[in-house]
Amino acid sequence: MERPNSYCAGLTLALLAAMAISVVAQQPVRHSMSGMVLKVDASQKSVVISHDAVSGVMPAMTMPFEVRDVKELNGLVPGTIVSFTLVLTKDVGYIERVKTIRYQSVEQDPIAARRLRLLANLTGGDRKTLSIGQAVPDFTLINQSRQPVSLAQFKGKVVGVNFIYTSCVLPQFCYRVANHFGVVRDRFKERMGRDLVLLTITFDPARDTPDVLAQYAKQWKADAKTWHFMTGNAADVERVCGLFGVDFFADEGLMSHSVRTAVIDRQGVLVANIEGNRYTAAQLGDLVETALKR
Amino acid sequence: MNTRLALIATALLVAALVPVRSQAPQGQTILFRIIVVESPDAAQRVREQLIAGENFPALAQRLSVDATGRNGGLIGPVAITDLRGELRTALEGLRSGELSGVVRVPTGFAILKIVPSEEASAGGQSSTDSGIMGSGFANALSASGGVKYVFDISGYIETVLSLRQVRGRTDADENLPTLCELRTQLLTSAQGLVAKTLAGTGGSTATTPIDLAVTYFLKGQLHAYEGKMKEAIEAFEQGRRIAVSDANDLLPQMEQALGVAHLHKAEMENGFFHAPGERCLLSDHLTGQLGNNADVAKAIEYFTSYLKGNPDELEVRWLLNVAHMFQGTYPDKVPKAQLIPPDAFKSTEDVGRFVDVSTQSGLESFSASGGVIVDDFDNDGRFDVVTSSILSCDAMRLFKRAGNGRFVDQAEKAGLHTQLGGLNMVQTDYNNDGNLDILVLRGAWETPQRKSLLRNNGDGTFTDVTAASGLMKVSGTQAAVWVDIDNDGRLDLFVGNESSPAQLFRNKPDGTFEDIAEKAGVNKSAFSKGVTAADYDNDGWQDLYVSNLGGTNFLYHNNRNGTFTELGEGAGVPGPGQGFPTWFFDYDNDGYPDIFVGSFVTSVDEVARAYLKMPRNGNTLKLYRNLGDGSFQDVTRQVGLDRVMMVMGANFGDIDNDGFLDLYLGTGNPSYAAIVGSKLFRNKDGKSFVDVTSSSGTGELHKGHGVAFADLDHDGDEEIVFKVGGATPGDAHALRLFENPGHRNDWLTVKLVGVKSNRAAIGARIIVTVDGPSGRRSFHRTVSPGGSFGASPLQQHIGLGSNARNVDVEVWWPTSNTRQRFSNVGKNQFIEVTEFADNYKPLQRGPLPLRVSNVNGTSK
Repeated sequence: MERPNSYCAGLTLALLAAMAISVVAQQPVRHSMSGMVLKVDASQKSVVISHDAVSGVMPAMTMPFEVRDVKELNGLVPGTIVSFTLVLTKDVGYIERVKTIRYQSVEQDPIAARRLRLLANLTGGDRKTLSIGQAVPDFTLINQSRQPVSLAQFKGKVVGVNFIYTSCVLPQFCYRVANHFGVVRDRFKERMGRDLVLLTITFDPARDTPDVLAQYAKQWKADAKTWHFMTGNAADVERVCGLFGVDFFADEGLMSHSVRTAVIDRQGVLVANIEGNRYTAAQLGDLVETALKR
Repeated sequence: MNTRLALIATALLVAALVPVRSQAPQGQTILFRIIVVESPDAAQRVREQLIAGENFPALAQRLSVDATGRNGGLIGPVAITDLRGELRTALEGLRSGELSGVVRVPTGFAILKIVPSEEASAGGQSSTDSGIMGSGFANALSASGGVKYVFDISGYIETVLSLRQVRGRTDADENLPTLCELRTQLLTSAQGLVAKTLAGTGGSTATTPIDLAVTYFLKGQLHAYEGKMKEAIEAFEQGRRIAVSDANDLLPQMEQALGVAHLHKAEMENGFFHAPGERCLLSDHLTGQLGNNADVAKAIEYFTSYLKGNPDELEVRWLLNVAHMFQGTYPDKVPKAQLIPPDAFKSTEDVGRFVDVSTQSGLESFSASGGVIVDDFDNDGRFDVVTSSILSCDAMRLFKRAGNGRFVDQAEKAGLHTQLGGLNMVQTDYNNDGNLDILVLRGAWETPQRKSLLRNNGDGTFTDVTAASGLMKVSGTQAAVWVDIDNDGRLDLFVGNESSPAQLFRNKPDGTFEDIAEKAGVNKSAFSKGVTAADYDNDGWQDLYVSNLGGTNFLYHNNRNGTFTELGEGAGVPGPGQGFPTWFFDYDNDGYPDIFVGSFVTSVDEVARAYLKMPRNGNTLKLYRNLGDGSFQDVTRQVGLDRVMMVMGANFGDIDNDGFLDLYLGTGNPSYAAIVGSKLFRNKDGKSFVDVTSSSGTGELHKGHGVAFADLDHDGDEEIVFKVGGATPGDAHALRLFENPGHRNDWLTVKLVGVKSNRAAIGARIIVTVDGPSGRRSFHRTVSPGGSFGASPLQQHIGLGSNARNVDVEVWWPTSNTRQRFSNVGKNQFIEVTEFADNYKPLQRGPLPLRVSNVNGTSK
C-alpha cells in the first residue's frame, strides 16, 4: 500500500532519526509541511497529523508530532487543516509554527455560496451550527432504499457524513467528496456496518429522490445498509445541513454550495467537521480510524 | 496562492500548451484504463510499477481511488470528445498499450492506458461494467465536468434568496401586487443591512479581509441588480482594493467584476438597450460606435490585467473582444494572443439582411426577460403582440395592430395592465369561443407563484379566470402546452414545473380544470424548463415531451385511455442533460414530427470555444429525427447543430420559404457577463443547418427570451419577433422586430378552424404538396405556437419553395379523424379551412406596413 493504515510511534521515531542522521551539519533541518489534524493531546504536548507528502523527502503518512510550546495546539481540533514546520536535530524532532489553514477557496462557487450566506445571515438571522465536541441531535431522513434512517440508530458506531447533490456539475466538489467515501468504505470494508456507517446527504431533495440517489450510489456499488444516500423533505434536509454548516443556494438550476465532511463518534458527538475539498481520502480515512479507536 | 489553485493553474497551463485542434471525428470511440491516486508523486510511482510490468487492472483494483478502480479502471467505449479536456489531451497521440504521463482529474492524479483492441474485444465485452457512462462518470471524467460556468454579475440570485427567505409569510405567491411590493421592500432592506454592516453599525461585521471584500461584492451586486452601475462599480472597487492589500487570491474576480460592470455601464448609458439599432448585432464587423468611452476603456484595462495572470480564461478573452467591438477598435487593437478572429463570425451563406423595425412599427416594449405571443386576439385579420416580463412589478403589454399597421398598446383598455410578472406565456382557446385566451406562467427560477388564465371576452377585454377555473395552485413554472389529450375537442393543459410534479389539467365540460397528472402517469418531478406536444407516432393521439435542466427528458406516449407511458430514454430522446426550450417539428418533411432540444450550458467559455474552434466540453443542442417506428435518432452532429449554447427563448419558422423550418435561438443568463449572441440557423433541405447569423443581421448580442416567427406585413415571409432583456431591471432591453428582407419563393398561409376538434385546431396537421423544380414534394405542419419559449401564431405559414405548381392541401383532424383534401389551391395567399367544410375560404389580407412614421399612419 502507498500509505500505512495506522500510525506507529516506533516506526515514526525511527524514521525521524534516520532523517536526522542523514543531516551532516549540526544545524537543525526544517521542513515545511501540511496535513490534517487527527488527534490533539495538550497534556502530552502532542498532535497526530495525517500529513501530505514532502516531495523527495517522505510520502504522505500519519505521525504523532510533539510541540515545544503547548500554545501551538490552541484551536486545533480533529479535521483541522494545518501548515507547520518540522524541525529535526540530531536528537529530537518537533514541530513549530502550527497554523490553521482556514478553508478560503476563492473559486467561483464557494465564494458565491459565501456571499449568499452572508446575505442570508443579514436578512434571515444566523443558524445554529454545531461545534466540535457537541452531541449531534438526532435526525431522520430517507435512504436510497426508501427506508427511514435515523442517526440515533447508529449509537455505538462511528458515522461519517458528507453532503452532495447529484446534478452537481463541478466534479471537484460533490463527486470528489462522495468518491472519498468510496475509498473509506473500501479501506474499512470489514468494519462497515459493524463499527462504521457512512451518510451522504443531498441538499437538493426536490430532484434527488431515493431512486435518483440509488442510481448515483451505484457508481460505488454502495451497500444501502451501511452507506446511506439520504434525502427527505426540504425542511428536514435544511435543518440537518444547518447543523453541519452546509450552505446551499439554488441558482439557475444549479446550486452554489459549501463543502463539509463530518465525523461523529460512537457516543454521537461531533468530532470533526472538515470544510472544503482540500483533503485526501487517505486523510479522511485516518480521521475515521482515529475515531474508531477511541 | 494556495495549493489547490496552484494545481488548477498548472492544469490550465498544461491545457494552454496543447495546440488548438478541431474535434476528433464523431464515432471515434476509445476503450481505456485509468488509475487515480492522491498525489503526483504516488502517480509517478504507479507509473514506474506499471513500466516494471505490473498488471494494470490488478493495480487499479488495489490502488485506484476512483470509482472505476474496482472495475480494473476500465472506461469506455466512449467518444474521445466526450471526455474531460485533460483526458482528451493525454489520450490523443497515445498509442495502444502505451502509458500516459500523470494527469490531474477531480479525484486525484491519473495514469491512463489505451486498451489494445485484442484485449478490448476479449475483456471489454464480457464485462458488464464496461461502457460506464452513468451519471457519475458523465460528471467526473466526462467533458461536461470540465465546463467553466459564467461569472455572475447581476445581483439576481441575491434578490431571489431574499424572496425565498420570506416565502410563506405573506400572500405574495398568489397576490401579484403584494409580490411586487414585497420584492421592492426586500431589495431596499438588504441594501440597508449591507450598508450597516460595512459602516460597522450592524449586528454583524466582516471578520476577515476576504469576508470584507465579499461584503463589498455583495453591495455591488445589489446595485448592479437595479442597474445602478456607478454605485456597483464603487463597491467592486472597494473590494478590489482589499484584494490588492490583503486578499490577493480574490483580485482576478474583482477585476473581472469591474470590467463587466464598466462594460454594462457603457451599454446602458449609450442606448445599447433602449435603441440598439444596428449595434450589438454579432458579426465580423460589429461596431458599437462608442469611440473613446471611458467605461469601455476601463473595462478593457481590467480585462487586460486579468488576462495577464490568467491568459487562458476564455470568458474574459471573449469580453475583451466584445469591448473592442464596442469601442470600434476590433480587431486591430485586440492583442493577437487574445483575438477572436473576424473570420470566426462570418456566415458562409447569405439569406439577406433582416432589419429591426420595432421603433418604426410602434412595437416598443422595453423590459426585462419575458414571454411573447404573436397572434390575432381580436379577429381583425392582423396579428397583435403580447409581451410579459419576469419582474414582479412589470405589467403585461398588449400591442394591438391598428389598421394603418402601427402597434398600439391597449393593455389597460383590455384589463391586462394588472397582470404583473410572468416569464412566459402561451395562447389558447380553452373555451372554444373563437377568441384567443392567454395563459401567463410565473415563478420560474424564483419561488412558486400563481399562473393567470386570461379569458378573452371578445370585446377587447380579458378576465382573469384562474381561480374560477381551478388553476390557482402555485408552482415555479415557465413551461406549458395546450393539447387535447383525450380527443374530446377541448384543450387540456400540461404544465412542467421546477422541482415539483408536472400537472396535467383536464379541461372539463363545465369550463373548469382537474389535475389528472398522477392518474395519467405524467407527474414526474424534475427541473422542467420546456414542454411540448405532438402525435409523434401518428396514431391520432397527442403525446408529450418534457425538457429538463439537470436530468433526462421525458417522452410521454399517449396510451389512448387517459394514461401515458414514459419512453424517453428507450425511444432515444434523453435530451442534452441540460435541456431548455424544446419543440416538435418536422424538420425533414417526412411526415413524422422530430424533436429539437436547446441545451442551456451557462458558459461564455464554451461559446468562445466554438468560435475559436477549440474542443467543446458542454453538452450540445439536440436534434432527434423521428424514424417512424416509435424511435428517434440523434442527428445533431450530422446536421451541424453540435454547438454548445446557453439557449433560452427560441423558436422555428421558415425564413426563406423553402419549406424547411429554420431556427432562431436566443440566449440567457442573468449575468451581465453572459453576452454571447443569438443564432439563426437555416435548414437546408432537411439535411443540414447553416449558421446565417452574421449575414442576416439577427445576432443580437444580448439575452433574449420569447421568440416568435410571423408574417407581420402580409408580404408572404416571416418576421422574427424577439423579446430581448435579462432577468434584472438593470438588464432590460428593447424588443427586436426583425423584418424579413424577402426572397422569391412561394408560400401559403393556412388558418384552421376546428368544429368537433378544438376550435383553435391545435394538433391538427397540414400537408401541402407541390410540384417544384426538384419534383413533387410535401411540406408538413402541425398547428401549435411552435417552441416552448415564445409563441408564434397558430395560423400556419408554409413556404413552398420556388415555382411551386399544382398545390394540394390536406388537413388531418385527429379528434374527428377526418381528412380534407383540396387540389390546385392558389399559392401565395391566405386561406381558412374549417373542419368538415367542403371548400376552403380565401382570406383577404391587404399589405400592412411595418414602417409607420406616426400614429396617424403615414407609411414610409
